[in-house]
Amino acid sequence: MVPSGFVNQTELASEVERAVRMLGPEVVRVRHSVGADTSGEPSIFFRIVITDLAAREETLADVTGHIATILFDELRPYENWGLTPYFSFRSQSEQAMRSDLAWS
Amino acid sequence: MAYHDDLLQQALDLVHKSPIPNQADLRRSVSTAYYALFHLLVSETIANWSLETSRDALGRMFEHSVMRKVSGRISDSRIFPFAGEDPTMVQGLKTVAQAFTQLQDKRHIADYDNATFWTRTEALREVATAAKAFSTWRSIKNEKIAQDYLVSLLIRPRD
Repeated sequence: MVPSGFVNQTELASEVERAVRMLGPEVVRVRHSVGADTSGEPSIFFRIVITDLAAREETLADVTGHIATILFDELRPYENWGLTPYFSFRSQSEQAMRSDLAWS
Repeated sequence: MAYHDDLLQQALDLVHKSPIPNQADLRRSVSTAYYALFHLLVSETIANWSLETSRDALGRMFEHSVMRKVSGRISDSRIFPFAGEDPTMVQGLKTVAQAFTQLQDKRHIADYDNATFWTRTEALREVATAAKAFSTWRSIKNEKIAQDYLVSLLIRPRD
């Protein structure tokens, strides 16, 4: 069992990069950070920018669910890293309007 | 419609309230999506209590932090390997539990963190997560692992 307070950030980044390569063209970029969630549990936060086409309301649930499942299955954040995963999604045009550095 | 169904619809209505929704609408939408799932799980649990007049009192026994902790543990195969269970049903339960964990964290941010800006896509995604949890719950609710999950939501896990 991985002690949840100790995460090798370099190794984790490498694993995230590997998992991201499994994602489809609807994904523009994936950023992640490690920290405590609102209950204090060690967590990994994914910020995922997707194409405007993928962010349409009709497809958003399926697209984002698929992306989260791939990242979850590839990384096994609970078992391999002791981290609770959280996923946030923005469309490409939303991010362009905000220029939020954490998502860039 | 049941209260939790109304809440889920309200969450969606808030996202759609205007072409360019304001932060209050988006943040209330995320918060409402969480409470929709919270009340769905509470109502499903207390429906098992045979004495109908006691159900509302039982519903007040739920603690958000306990429900979150239990839901997080469901996704950890070291704690819950679910050996011998139908993988489809297990995945369904994990979908509901993960949705609860994610929505509770987002609810907290939406309600209290003024530094976080919400886009329409971010809010809509959280509502969609709640909606997916609703539909998934309907398909697994009669399974033993789902009913065990409901009971566990009332019991503080030992670390």
